[in-house]
Amino acid sequence: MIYPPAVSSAHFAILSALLFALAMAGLFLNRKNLIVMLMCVELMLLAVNLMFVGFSAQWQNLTGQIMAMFVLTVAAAEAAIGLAILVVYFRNRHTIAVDDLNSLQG
Amino acid sequence: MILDNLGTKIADGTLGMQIFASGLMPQLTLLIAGLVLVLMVAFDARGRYRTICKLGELALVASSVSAIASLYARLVCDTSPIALPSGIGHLLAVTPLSLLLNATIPLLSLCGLATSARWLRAQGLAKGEFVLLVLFATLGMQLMLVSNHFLTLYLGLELQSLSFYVLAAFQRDNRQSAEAGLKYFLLGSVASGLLLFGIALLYGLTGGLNFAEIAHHLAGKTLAIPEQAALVFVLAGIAFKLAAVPFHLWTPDVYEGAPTPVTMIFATAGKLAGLGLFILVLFSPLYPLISQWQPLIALLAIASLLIGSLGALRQEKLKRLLGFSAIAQAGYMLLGITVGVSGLPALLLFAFTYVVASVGIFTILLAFHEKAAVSSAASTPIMTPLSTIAQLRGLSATHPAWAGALALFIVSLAGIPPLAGFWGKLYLLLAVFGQGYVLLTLIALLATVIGAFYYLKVAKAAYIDPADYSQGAASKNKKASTTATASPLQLNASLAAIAVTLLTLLTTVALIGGLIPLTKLLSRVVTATFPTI
Repeated sequence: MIYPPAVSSAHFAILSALLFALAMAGLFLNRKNLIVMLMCVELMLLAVNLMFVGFSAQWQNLTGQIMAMFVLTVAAAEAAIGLAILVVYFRNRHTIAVDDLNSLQG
Repeated sequence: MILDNLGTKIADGTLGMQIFASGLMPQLTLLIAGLVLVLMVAFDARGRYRTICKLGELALVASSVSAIASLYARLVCDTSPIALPSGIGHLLAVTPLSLLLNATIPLLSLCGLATSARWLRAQGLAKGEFVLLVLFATLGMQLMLVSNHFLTLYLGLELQSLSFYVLAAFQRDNRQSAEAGLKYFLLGSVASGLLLFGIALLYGLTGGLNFAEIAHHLAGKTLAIPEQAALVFVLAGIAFKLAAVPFHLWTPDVYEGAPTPVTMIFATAGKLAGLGLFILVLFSPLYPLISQWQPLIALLAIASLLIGSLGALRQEKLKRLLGFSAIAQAGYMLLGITVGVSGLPALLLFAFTYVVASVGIFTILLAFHEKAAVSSAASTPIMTPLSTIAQLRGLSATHPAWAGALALFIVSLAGIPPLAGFWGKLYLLLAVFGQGYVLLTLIALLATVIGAFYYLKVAKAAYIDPADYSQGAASKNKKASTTATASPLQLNASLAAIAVTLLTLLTTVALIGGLIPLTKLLSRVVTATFPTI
């Protein structure tokens, strides 16, 4: 056993579901700052990673851990691209408030 | 096994044959071409765009040709596919359906590259990175479609998505493009987060991420809340990629804000890849849950059909209109999925007619641009592709051939006989009706009628509305007046070849009996892909 018996994979699942819900709430409630949204996306991926690792311990196979490594890599790439796009956006608009994302409307 | 006795195989040439027979040639071609081009772009700071673009186009053609060759070998010569080494076979599986889509998608990306060169140069954006991003997005789509494991599926999906986010924001100094990129990025990464959460739940339930393993474990189970939650999360993630309601909010904005050639790639290659993703996920790992997902997909289909059609009604901007139309088309595609495997050939026929007509329309949008709208900021003339319906007025008088082509594409998209789009829709609706979904068929018919209205509005602008640039446009829209009074549209005739090819395709399918062989091919591909279902 990798973890003490008192902690089961259900605990991992519940914790990561809570973190995921927190990230979703952050995404939808936050009306101020786009950086916070990027952080919420990262939190989302990390919550999922925790879940993968927890289940990996439950099933005693490595698939979940390998998946978690790949998700980490992709999350890094995603953060890089997200920040780059954010910089481009800021140069054009001089603001990163969520409410200002409104120049495209029909 | 491919990798046994590597040295001798390279020497006598069987290695090449085996790689070819494995069906992974399309991906390998793009991967190698992409890596070579990365180096070329990195070391050649001047960025000879023309060379790089030509090489990229060559790679896309080669990729498509090798997929067609593999498909031909599978279907016509009946060669049994060579077994991939067990490690790779666990992650990737080449099916005839994936080969068919992998043959089409590079061609659609190719159209995007071929039509964009002139526009990019005029914008000062003709940089090698554009070609690279298109190549890697295509590679991502292809990889996603041959995946047999959620790890490869996720990686392919992200390769596609990350390239798409950058492409959407490629026009760096344009605020709309930047905003489109940002919106696409935020919503897209949330969608992949949802998908990933669903995958994690599936892993927790089944202990594996291989499609066969998951299907095997789900088959016997009684369905409880965790299974349903996993299903809903996975569906949410992939519905975003197909732009189905309620995950459609990005579509009109991104279609409008992204540069037109990029929008074309989103609307055609991206759409087809999204459809392939849906079919892949729902008909292999999640197939045991079919009774669960069928009603959900039907609901998504109805919502997409109605919201897409109604939303398109009041659009004056062409790309926005096509964005809403893409939502409605997603609705039709989901209808085909609801039917099950028997609906897939009709669904594929519909999807192909849709992408051909879409490429045609976008090509025409790119073929014209407004002449030298002299902006106060820049002294260089700015070329903007056609963007509003009002700009099309009087097109039939100035450019009758182009107006005719536009009308044909529009009519095909609207589903009016005898063009190919009609047959696609007819087969699809017959398949839906044949399974007894009367209500769904009626809603689809309603959406088709609404669709005919807004599609024909575009054709009407080109044919019937008078070309009074000075008054009509000026009174309607102050911003447009400065550009619209300046000139009629300028034509870039070099795109004619593409438009003609697409038109020939559409009419061949519809009029010269191309339809029957095509449907036969499609149903053969589907039966070969899902032999057990």
